Amino acid sequence: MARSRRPARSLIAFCAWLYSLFLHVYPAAFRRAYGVRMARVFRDSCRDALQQHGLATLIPFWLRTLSDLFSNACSEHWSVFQERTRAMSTLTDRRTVPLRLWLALTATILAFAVSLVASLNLYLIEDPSPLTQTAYGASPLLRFSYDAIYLSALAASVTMCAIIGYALVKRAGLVFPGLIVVALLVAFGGFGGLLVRHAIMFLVDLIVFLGMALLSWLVGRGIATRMVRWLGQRLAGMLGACVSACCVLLINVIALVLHTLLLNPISHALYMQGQIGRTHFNFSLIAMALAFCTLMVCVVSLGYALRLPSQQA
Amino acid sequence: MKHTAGEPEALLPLSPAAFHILLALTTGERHGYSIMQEATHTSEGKINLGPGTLYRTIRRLLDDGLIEESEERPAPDLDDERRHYYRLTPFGMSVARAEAERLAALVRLAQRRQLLPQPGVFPLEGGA
Repeated sequence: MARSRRPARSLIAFCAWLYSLFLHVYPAAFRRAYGVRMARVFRDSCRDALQQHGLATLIPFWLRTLSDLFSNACSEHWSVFQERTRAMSTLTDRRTVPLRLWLALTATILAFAVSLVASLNLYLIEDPSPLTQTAYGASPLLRFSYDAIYLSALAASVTMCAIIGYALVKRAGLVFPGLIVVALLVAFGGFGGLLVRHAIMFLVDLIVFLGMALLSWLVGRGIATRMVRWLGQRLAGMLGACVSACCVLLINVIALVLHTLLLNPISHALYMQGQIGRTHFNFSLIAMALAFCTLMVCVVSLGYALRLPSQQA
Repeated sequence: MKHTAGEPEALLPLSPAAFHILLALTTGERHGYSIMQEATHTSEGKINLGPGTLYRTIRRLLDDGLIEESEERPAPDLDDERRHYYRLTPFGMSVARAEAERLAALVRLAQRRQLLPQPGVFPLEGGA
Protein backbone atom coordinates (compact mmCIF):
# COMPACT_ATOMS: atom_id res chain seq x y z
CA MET A 1 0.00 0.00 0.00
CA ALA A 2 2.79 2.34 0.99
CA ARG A 3 4.58 1.53 -2.27
CA SER A 4 1.49 2.47 -4.33
CA ARG A 5 1.01 5.74 -2.45
CA ARG A 6 4.53 6.97 -3.00
CA PRO A 7 4.35 7.35 -6.81
CA ALA A 8 0.93 9.00 -6.47
CA ARG A 9 2.33 11.44 -3.94
CA SER A 10 5.31 12.29 -6.09
CA LEU A 11 3.06 12.56 -9.12
CA ILE A 12 0.80 15.00 -7.28
CA ALA A 13 3.84 16.97 -6.16
CA PHE A 14 5.12 17.10 -9.74
CA CYS A 15 1.72 18.22 -11.06
CA ALA A 16 1.52 20.90 -8.38
CA TRP A 17 5.00 22.13 -9.25
CA LEU A 18 4.04 22.24 -12.94
CA TYR A 19 0.86 24.12 -12.14
CA SER A 20 2.74 26.66 -10.06
CA LEU A 21 4.94 27.27 -13.10
CA PHE A 22 1.88 27.75 -15.29
CA LEU A 23 0.56 30.30 -12.82
CA HIS A 24 3.09 32.75 -14.22
CA VAL A 25 0.75 33.39 -17.14
CA TYR A 26 -1.41 35.41 -14.74
CA PRO A 27 -0.65 39.07 -14.04
CA ALA A 28 1.81 39.44 -11.17
CA ALA A 29 -0.61 41.19 -8.82
CA PHE A 30 -3.25 38.49 -9.17
CA ARG A 31 -0.60 35.79 -8.77
CA ARG A 32 0.70 37.37 -5.59
CA ALA A 33 -2.78 37.61 -4.11
CA TYR A 34 -4.20 34.22 -5.14
CA GLY A 35 -1.37 32.09 -6.54
CA VAL A 36 -0.74 30.11 -3.37
CA ARG A 37 -4.45 29.49 -2.81
CA MET A 38 -4.93 28.39 -6.41
CA ALA A 39 -1.98 26.03 -6.20
CA ARG A 40 -3.42 24.55 -3.03
CA VAL A 41 -6.86 24.02 -4.58
CA PHE A 42 -5.19 22.46 -7.59
CA ARG A 43 -3.21 20.08 -5.41
CA ASP A 44 -6.34 19.02 -3.50
CA SER A 45 -8.40 18.46 -6.62
CA CYS A 46 -5.55 16.60 -8.33
CA ARG A 47 -5.19 14.32 -5.31
CA ASP A 48 -8.91 13.59 -5.19
CA ALA A 49 -9.13 12.99 -8.93
CA LEU A 50 -6.26 10.48 -8.79
CA GLN A 51 -7.69 8.73 -5.75
CA GLN A 52 -11.17 8.41 -7.22
CA HIS A 53 -10.46 7.67 -10.89
CA GLY A 54 -6.83 6.63 -11.08
CA LEU A 55 -4.20 7.64 -13.57
CA ALA A 56 -6.64 7.56 -16.48
CA THR A 57 -8.16 10.81 -15.32
CA LEU A 58 -4.90 12.71 -15.44
CA ILE A 59 -5.04 13.80 -19.07
CA PRO A 60 -8.66 15.08 -19.04
CA PHE A 61 -7.96 16.67 -15.68
CA TRP A 62 -4.98 18.58 -17.07
CA LEU A 63 -6.88 19.58 -20.20
CA ARG A 64 -9.65 21.05 -18.06
CA THR A 65 -7.14 22.77 -15.83
CA LEU A 66 -5.17 24.28 -18.69
CA SER A 67 -8.33 25.49 -20.40
CA ASP A 68 -9.42 27.14 -17.15
CA LEU A 69 -5.94 28.55 -16.58
CA PHE A 70 -5.43 30.17 -19.97
CA SER A 71 -8.95 31.49 -20.45
CA ASN A 72 -8.91 33.13 -17.02
CA ALA A 73 -5.37 34.43 -17.48
CA CYS A 74 -6.43 36.12 -20.73
CA SER A 75 -9.49 37.62 -19.04
CA GLU A 76 -7.37 38.83 -16.15
CA HIS A 77 -4.79 40.42 -18.44
CA TRP A 78 -7.60 42.13 -20.31
CA SER A 79 -9.04 43.46 -17.04
CA VAL A 80 -5.64 44.80 -16.02
CA PHE A 81 -5.23 46.44 -19.41
CA GLN A 82 -8.65 48.08 -19.09
CA GLU A 83 -7.79 49.39 -15.64
CA ARG A 84 -4.54 50.83 -16.86
CA THR A 85 -6.14 52.60 -19.77
CA ARG A 86 -8.78 54.31 -17.66
CA ALA A 87 -6.45 57.29 -17.62
CA MET A 88 -7.55 57.86 -21.21
CA SER A 89 -10.47 59.81 -19.76
CA THR A 90 -7.96 62.61 -19.24
CA LEU A 91 -8.06 63.08 -23.00
CA THR A 92 -11.31 64.97 -22.57
CA ASP A 93 -9.83 67.34 -20.03
CA ARG A 94 -8.04 70.04 -21.98
CA ARG A 95 -6.60 71.65 -18.88
CA THR A 96 -4.25 68.70 -18.34
CA VAL A 97 -2.70 69.18 -21.77
CA PRO A 98 -0.39 72.20 -22.08
CA LEU A 99 -0.55 74.44 -25.15
CA ARG A 100 2.95 73.58 -26.32
CA LEU A 101 1.93 69.95 -26.52
CA TRP A 102 -1.03 70.74 -28.72
CA LEU A 103 1.32 72.70 -31.01
CA ALA A 104 3.81 69.87 -31.14
CA LEU A 105 1.09 67.34 -31.83
CA THR A 106 -0.45 69.47 -34.58
CA ALA A 107 2.94 69.95 -36.24
CA THR A 108 3.64 66.24 -36.10
CA ILE A 109 0.26 65.29 -37.51
CA LEU A 110 0.77 67.74 -40.38
CA ALA A 111 4.24 66.35 -41.04
CA PHE A 112 2.86 62.84 -40.93
CA ALA A 113 0.04 63.62 -43.33
CA VAL A 114 2.30 65.34 -45.86
CA SER A 115 5.01 62.71 -45.78
CA LEU A 116 2.51 59.84 -45.84
CA VAL A 117 0.74 61.24 -48.87
CA ALA A 118 4.07 61.76 -50.60
CA SER A 119 5.20 58.26 -49.64
CA LEU A 120 2.02 56.60 -50.87
CA ASN A 121 2.20 58.64 -54.04
CA LEU A 122 5.66 57.26 -54.73
CA TYR A 123 4.46 53.73 -54.23
CA LEU A 124 1.30 54.12 -56.23
CA ILE A 125 3.01 55.48 -59.33
CA GLU A 126 4.69 52.55 -60.94
CA ASP A 127 6.66 52.88 -64.11
CA PRO A 128 7.40 49.55 -65.76
CA SER A 129 9.94 51.13 -68.06
CA PRO A 130 13.42 49.51 -68.00
CA LEU A 131 14.84 53.00 -68.09
CA THR A 132 14.32 53.21 -64.35
CA GLN A 133 17.24 50.85 -63.82
CA THR A 134 19.41 53.13 -65.84
CA ALA A 135 18.25 56.09 -63.84
CA TYR A 136 19.04 54.30 -60.62
CA GLY A 137 22.49 53.47 -61.81
CA ALA A 138 23.09 57.04 -62.82
CA SER A 139 22.04 58.55 -59.50
CA PRO A 140 22.27 56.64 -56.20
CA LEU A 141 20.71 59.69 -54.59
CA LEU A 142 17.36 58.69 -56.02
CA ARG A 143 17.08 55.57 -53.95
CA PHE A 144 18.19 57.38 -50.85
CA SER A 145 15.53 60.05 -51.27
CA TYR A 146 12.95 57.40 -51.97
CA ASP A 147 13.80 55.73 -48.68
CA ALA A 148 13.98 58.99 -46.78
CA ILE A 149 10.49 60.17 -47.56
CA TYR A 150 9.09 56.80 -46.67
CA LEU A 151 10.95 56.76 -43.39
CA SER A 152 9.93 60.30 -42.55
CA ALA A 153 6.31 59.21 -42.61
CA LEU A 154 7.20 56.40 -40.29
CA ALA A 155 9.12 58.69 -37.96
CA ALA A 156 6.21 61.12 -37.77
CA SER A 157 3.81 58.33 -36.91
CA VAL A 158 6.17 57.02 -34.26
CA THR A 159 6.43 60.46 -32.72
CA MET A 160 2.67 60.89 -32.72
CA CYS A 161 2.34 57.67 -30.80
CA ALA A 162 5.02 58.74 -28.35
CA ILE A 163 3.38 62.10 -27.72
CA ILE A 164 -0.12 60.73 -27.37
CA GLY A 165 1.06 57.87 -25.19
CA TYR A 166 3.30 59.81 -22.83
CA ALA A 167 1.49 63.10 -22.58
CA LEU A 168 -2.21 62.50 -23.08
CA VAL A 169 -2.78 58.97 -21.95
CA LYS A 170 0.14 59.09 -19.53
CA ARG A 171 0.66 55.37 -19.87
CA ALA A 172 3.98 54.21 -21.26
CA GLY A 173 2.52 50.75 -21.85
CA LEU A 174 0.32 52.12 -24.61
CA VAL A 175 3.11 53.87 -26.46
CA PHE A 176 4.91 50.84 -27.75
CA PRO A 177 1.94 48.80 -29.02
CA GLY A 178 0.69 52.00 -30.63
CA LEU A 179 4.11 52.60 -32.11
CA ILE A 180 4.20 49.14 -33.62
CA VAL A 181 0.64 49.36 -34.95
CA VAL A 182 1.20 52.69 -36.67
CA ALA A 183 4.53 51.52 -38.04
CA LEU A 184 2.73 48.47 -39.41
CA LEU A 185 0.08 50.64 -41.00
CA VAL A 186 2.74 52.61 -42.79
CA ALA A 187 4.48 49.38 -43.70
CA PHE A 188 1.22 48.04 -45.13
CA GLY A 189 0.94 51.18 -47.21
CA GLY A 190 4.42 50.69 -48.57
CA PHE A 191 4.21 46.94 -48.94
CA GLY A 192 0.72 46.73 -50.38
CA GLY A 193 2.04 45.44 -53.69
CA LEU A 194 4.04 42.79 -51.89
CA LEU A 195 0.91 41.61 -50.05
CA VAL A 196 -0.98 41.18 -53.31
CA ARG A 197 1.78 39.55 -55.33
CA HIS A 198 3.66 37.46 -52.77
CA ALA A 199 1.49 36.84 -49.75
CA ILE A 200 3.78 34.26 -48.10
CA MET A 201 6.80 36.47 -48.37
CA PHE A 202 4.76 39.31 -46.95
CA LEU A 203 3.82 37.19 -43.94
CA VAL A 204 7.44 36.24 -43.39
CA ASP A 205 8.41 39.90 -43.61
CA LEU A 206 5.65 40.80 -41.20
CA ILE A 207 6.75 38.24 -38.62
CA VAL A 208 10.35 39.34 -38.91
CA PHE A 209 9.26 42.95 -38.63
CA LEU A 210 7.23 42.27 -35.48
CA GLY A 211 10.10 40.39 -33.90
CA MET A 212 12.56 43.12 -34.75
CA ALA A 213 10.20 45.83 -33.51
CA LEU A 214 9.94 44.03 -30.18
CA LEU A 215 13.70 43.71 -30.09
CA SER A 216 14.12 47.40 -30.81
CA TRP A 217 11.80 48.25 -27.95
CA LEU A 218 13.76 46.01 -25.61
CA VAL A 219 17.04 47.54 -26.72
CA GLY A 220 15.70 51.06 -26.16
CA ARG A 221 14.34 50.17 -22.77
CA GLY A 222 17.55 48.42 -21.75
CA ILE A 223 19.63 51.43 -22.72
CA ALA A 224 17.28 53.80 -20.89
CA THR A 225 17.52 51.70 -17.74
CA ARG A 226 21.30 51.54 -17.81
CA MET A 227 21.83 55.21 -18.61
CA VAL A 228 19.63 56.58 -15.82
CA ARG A 229 22.58 56.59 -13.45
CA TRP A 230 24.68 58.86 -15.68
CA LEU A 231 22.14 60.91 -17.62
CA GLY A 232 19.20 61.22 -15.25
CA GLN A 233 15.71 59.92 -15.85
CA ARG A 234 14.57 62.39 -18.47
CA LEU A 235 17.61 62.23 -20.72
CA ALA A 236 17.88 58.47 -20.37
CA GLY A 237 14.22 58.10 -21.31
CA MET A 238 14.72 60.31 -24.33
CA LEU A 239 17.81 58.37 -25.37
CA GLY A 240 15.95 55.08 -25.01
CA ALA A 241 13.04 56.35 -27.09
CA CYS A 242 15.42 57.61 -29.78
CA VAL A 243 17.27 54.29 -29.85
CA SER A 244 13.97 52.42 -30.20
CA ALA A 245 12.83 54.70 -32.99
CA CYS A 246 16.20 54.42 -34.75
CA CYS A 247 16.07 50.63 -34.52
CA VAL A 248 12.60 50.59 -36.07
CA LEU A 249 13.77 52.94 -38.79
CA LEU A 250 16.80 50.77 -39.46
CA ILE A 251 14.60 47.71 -39.77
CA ASN A 252 12.44 49.55 -42.25
CA VAL A 253 15.43 50.62 -44.31
CA ILE A 254 16.56 47.01 -44.53
CA ALA A 255 13.05 45.81 -45.36
CA LEU A 256 12.60 48.52 -47.96
CA VAL A 257 15.91 47.84 -49.64
CA LEU A 258 15.16 44.12 -49.76
CA HIS A 259 11.73 44.85 -51.14
CA THR A 260 13.15 47.15 -53.77
CA LEU A 261 15.92 44.77 -54.81
CA LEU A 262 13.84 41.61 -54.89
CA LEU A 263 10.41 42.62 -56.05
CA ASN A 264 10.07 46.19 -57.11
CA PRO A 265 13.03 47.34 -59.18
CA ILE A 266 10.89 50.02 -60.76
CA SER A 267 11.46 52.50 -57.97
CA HIS A 268 9.95 55.51 -59.67
CA ALA A 269 13.30 56.90 -60.59
CA LEU A 270 12.03 58.76 -63.59
CA TYR A 271 9.33 60.36 -61.51
CA MET A 272 11.90 61.57 -59.07
CA GLN A 273 14.00 63.04 -61.82
CA GLY A 274 11.06 65.11 -62.94
CA GLN A 275 10.64 63.34 -66.24
CA ILE A 276 7.13 62.20 -65.40
CA GLY A 277 4.53 64.88 -65.06
CA ARG A 278 6.69 67.33 -67.03
CA THR A 279 7.75 69.23 -63.97
CA HIS A 280 10.99 71.17 -63.68
CA PHE A 281 11.34 70.44 -59.96
CA ASN A 282 14.01 68.11 -58.76
CA PHE A 283 11.85 65.70 -56.84
CA SER A 284 14.81 64.09 -55.10
CA LEU A 285 15.78 67.27 -53.34
CA ILE A 286 12.17 68.04 -52.44
CA ALA A 287 11.74 64.58 -50.98
CA MET A 288 14.91 64.82 -48.94
CA ALA A 289 14.03 68.28 -47.65
CA LEU A 290 10.60 67.10 -46.68
CA ALA A 291 12.06 64.10 -44.90
CA PHE A 292 14.56 66.29 -43.07
CA CYS A 293 11.85 68.72 -41.95
CA THR A 294 9.66 65.88 -40.78
CA LEU A 295 12.42 64.38 -38.72
CA MET A 296 13.21 67.76 -37.17
CA VAL A 297 9.57 68.24 -36.21
CA CYS A 298 9.54 64.77 -34.71
CA VAL A 299 12.63 65.35 -32.62
CA VAL A 300 11.36 68.69 -31.29
CA SER A 301 7.90 67.30 -30.58
CA LEU A 302 9.27 64.29 -28.79
CA GLY A 303 11.45 66.59 -26.72
CA TYR A 304 8.42 68.64 -25.71
CA ALA A 305 6.45 65.56 -24.79
CA LEU A 306 9.20 64.15 -22.61
CA ARG A 307 9.68 67.46 -20.81
CA LEU A 308 6.19 67.33 -19.32
CA PRO A 309 6.15 67.70 -15.52
CA SER A 310 4.08 64.53 -15.16
CA GLN A 311 6.80 62.53 -16.83
CA GLN A 312 9.54 64.09 -14.77
CA ALA A 313 7.70 62.91 -11.67
CA MET B 1 -14.63 49.01 -5.07
CA LYS B 2 -17.23 47.74 -2.66
CA HIS B 3 -20.96 48.01 -3.25
CA THR B 4 -22.04 47.05 0.21
CA ALA B 5 -24.60 49.85 0.37
CA GLY B 6 -25.91 49.40 -3.18
CA GLU B 7 -29.03 47.77 -4.50
CA PRO B 8 -28.82 43.97 -4.90
CA GLU B 9 -30.54 44.18 -8.29
CA ALA B 10 -27.68 46.29 -9.62
CA LEU B 11 -25.41 43.22 -9.56
CA LEU B 12 -27.83 40.91 -11.37
CA PRO B 13 -27.70 38.68 -13.24
CA LEU B 14 -24.89 36.76 -11.55
CA SER B 15 -22.68 34.41 -13.50
CA PRO B 16 -23.33 30.71 -12.83
CA ALA B 17 -19.97 30.44 -11.05
CA ALA B 18 -20.74 33.40 -8.77
CA PHE B 19 -24.20 32.10 -7.92
CA HIS B 20 -22.89 28.63 -7.11
CA ILE B 21 -20.25 30.12 -4.83
CA LEU B 22 -22.87 32.16 -3.00
CA LEU B 23 -25.09 29.09 -2.75
CA ALA B 24 -22.22 27.08 -1.31
CA LEU B 25 -21.62 29.73 1.33
CA THR B 26 -25.25 29.89 2.46
CA THR B 27 -24.65 26.80 4.56
CA GLY B 28 -21.65 28.28 6.38
CA GLU B 29 -18.04 29.29 6.02
CA ARG B 30 -15.98 27.37 3.52
CA HIS B 31 -12.47 27.42 2.04
CA GLY B 32 -11.78 27.47 -1.69
CA TYR B 33 -11.61 23.75 -2.33
CA SER B 34 -14.70 23.10 -0.25
CA ILE B 35 -16.61 25.68 -2.32
CA MET B 36 -15.43 23.93 -5.49
CA GLN B 37 -16.59 20.53 -4.22
CA GLU B 38 -19.94 21.88 -3.07
CA ALA B 39 -20.59 23.53 -6.44
CA THR B 40 -19.80 20.28 -8.25
CA HIS B 41 -21.99 18.31 -5.84
CA THR B 42 -25.04 20.61 -5.90
CA SER B 43 -24.94 20.98 -9.69
CA GLU B 44 -24.66 17.20 -10.09
CA GLY B 45 -21.31 17.58 -11.82
CA LYS B 46 -22.48 20.18 -14.33
CA ILE B 47 -20.43 22.99 -12.80
CA ASN B 48 -16.71 22.30 -12.55
CA LEU B 49 -14.99 25.36 -11.18
CA GLY B 50 -11.30 25.37 -11.98
CA PRO B 51 -8.93 27.22 -9.64
CA GLY B 52 -8.74 30.17 -12.03
CA THR B 53 -12.50 30.61 -12.35
CA LEU B 54 -12.95 30.03 -8.64
CA TYR B 55 -10.51 32.68 -7.46
CA ARG B 56 -11.30 35.27 -10.13
CA THR B 57 -14.95 35.00 -9.11
CA ILE B 58 -14.08 35.09 -5.42
CA ARG B 59 -11.99 38.19 -6.00
CA ARG B 60 -14.93 39.89 -7.74
CA LEU B 61 -17.34 38.86 -4.98
CA LEU B 62 -14.93 40.21 -2.37
CA ASP B 63 -14.61 43.49 -4.28
CA ASP B 64 -18.38 43.81 -4.53
CA GLY B 65 -18.79 43.10 -0.82
CA LEU B 66 -20.86 39.95 -1.33
CA ILE B 67 -18.48 37.75 0.63
CA GLU B 68 -15.69 38.37 3.10
CA GLU B 69 -12.74 36.47 4.46
CA SER B 70 -13.23 34.87 7.82
CA GLU B 71 -10.56 34.78 10.49
CA GLU B 72 -12.21 31.97 12.41
CA ARG B 73 -11.81 28.28 11.71
CA PRO B 74 -14.82 25.96 12.00
CA ALA B 75 -12.59 23.25 13.45
CA PRO B 76 -9.13 24.64 14.20
CA ASP B 77 -7.69 21.33 15.38
CA LEU B 78 -8.78 19.48 12.24
CA ASP B 79 -7.97 22.01 9.60
CA ASP B 80 -4.90 23.55 8.03
CA GLU B 81 -4.56 27.08 9.33
CA ARG B 82 -3.13 28.26 6.00
CA ARG B 83 -6.51 27.83 4.34
CA HIS B 84 -8.56 30.94 3.73
CA TYR B 85 -12.21 30.75 4.67
CA TYR B 86 -14.97 32.85 3.17
CA ARG B 87 -18.46 33.70 4.36
CA LEU B 88 -21.49 35.52 3.01
CA THR B 89 -22.11 39.11 4.02
CA PRO B 90 -25.68 40.29 4.65
CA PHE B 91 -25.49 42.14 1.34
CA GLY B 92 -24.28 38.96 -0.38
CA MET B 93 -27.22 37.07 1.11
CA SER B 94 -29.69 39.63 -0.27
CA VAL B 95 -28.02 39.48 -3.70
CA ALA B 96 -28.19 35.68 -3.69
CA ARG B 97 -31.85 35.88 -2.71
CA ALA B 98 -32.57 38.40 -5.47
CA GLU B 99 -30.84 36.17 -8.02
CA ALA B 100 -32.83 33.14 -6.83
CA GLU B 101 -36.06 35.13 -7.18
CA ARG B 102 -35.06 36.22 -10.66
CA LEU B 103 -34.42 32.60 -11.67
CA ALA B 104 -37.67 31.49 -10.04
CA ALA B 105 -39.56 34.10 -12.06
CA LEU B 106 -37.95 32.72 -15.21
CA VAL B 107 -39.01 29.21 -14.25
CA ARG B 108 -42.60 30.38 -13.68
CA LEU B 109 -42.56 32.03 -17.09
CA ALA B 110 -41.27 28.81 -18.68
CA GLN B 111 -44.08 26.92 -16.93
CA ARG B 112 -46.72 29.32 -18.25
CA ARG B 113 -45.29 28.88 -21.76
CA GLN B 114 -45.44 25.11 -21.19
CA LEU B 115 -41.71 24.65 -21.61
CA LEU B 116 -41.76 23.08 -18.13
CA PRO B 117 -44.56 21.10 -16.44
CA GLN B 118 -46.81 23.05 -14.05
CA PRO B 119 -46.14 22.38 -10.37
CA GLY B 120 -48.28 19.49 -9.15
CA VAL B 121 -49.07 18.37 -12.70
CA PHE B 122 -47.23 15.26 -13.75
CA PRO B 123 -46.83 14.53 -17.46
CA LEU B 124 -48.60 11.41 -18.65
CA GLU B 125 -46.29 8.66 -19.80
CA GLY B 126 -47.01 5.86 -22.20
CA GLY B 127 -49.40 5.59 -25.12
CA ALA B 128 -53.18 5.53 -25.30
